Amino acid sequence: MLIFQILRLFRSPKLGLELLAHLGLAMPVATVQISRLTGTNAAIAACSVSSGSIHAGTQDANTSPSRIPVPTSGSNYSFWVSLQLYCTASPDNALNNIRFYTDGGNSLGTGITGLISVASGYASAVGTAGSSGSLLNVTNHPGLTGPASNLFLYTSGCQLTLAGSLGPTTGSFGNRAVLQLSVDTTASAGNSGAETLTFTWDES
Amino acid sequence: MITWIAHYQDGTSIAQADGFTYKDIRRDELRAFDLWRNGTLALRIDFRDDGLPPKRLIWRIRHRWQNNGSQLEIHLAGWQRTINGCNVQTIAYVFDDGPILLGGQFVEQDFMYNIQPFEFEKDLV
Repeated sequence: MLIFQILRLFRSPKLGLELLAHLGLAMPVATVQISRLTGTNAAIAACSVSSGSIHAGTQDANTSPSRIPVPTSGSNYSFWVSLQLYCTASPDNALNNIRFYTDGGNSLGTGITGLISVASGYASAVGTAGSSGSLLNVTNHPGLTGPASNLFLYTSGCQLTLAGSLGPTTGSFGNRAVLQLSVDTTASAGNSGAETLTFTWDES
Repeated sequence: MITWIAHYQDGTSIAQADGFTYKDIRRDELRAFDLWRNGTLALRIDFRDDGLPPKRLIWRIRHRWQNNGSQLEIHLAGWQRTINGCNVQTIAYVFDDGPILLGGQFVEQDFMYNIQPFEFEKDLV
């Protein structure tokens, strides 16, 4: 009887503002991963990524990097990389307010710049493998919502908004962040520096 | 693990740990809104009538993911009210490991920025 009374004390909703600990099931938060989209437009494949390379491989899958040649004139480009959020365990209500930014500093190395645009639809990266991807623009990528801009313009004080949300379900959500590297004649051979990319989103 | 409890003016309460969702909260009947961390009260927001326009609840979990392996979850809990046509809000940013930062509309940290209201939060202006 005593144990029963104690349990009633903890669970009674009429206690209101008492400072007793509330016993109940801990509610897990939604689980979200960052997906890298590859494949043909009709068969998009997504893999969860926590790191990766941007290179000149066909459709730019995150495997077997194909180096971007340093050009003798003009610029060579990576195949663009499409990143999107994917929810594997649903929120109670929704996920929204998606944002993306960098640290604002280009650590890629001399002669290497980053481009970014937002896409409402997916388009597989195109170009010549081992040579250069096609420039990220609205002509080559029909899903872009606007022209590409300098990746490092987007910082914690000037975040890139990715429109879209997800209700109490699982799946991909939000516009895609599409990134590309540009290599000019002043670049040096070898691996570029690494960059830290940040995604944020709100859950309720 | 941080969870919330919403206390109503009639003395009843609902808790996230009991399966209630943020959308279930009767926003215009709030007396207080709690955040509990591992069985201990971390934050309590008073929603009782103070003679000014009513406070409207704001709550979110803000996630930050970085490709260097860093992940962060911050609970946002606070209120918004309109006074003489001016939007006034106060948000507490509550971290799992203890710290609580109090912010407003001003961007002082990279995680301090406005929410996007949902349809059931149409009382937020």
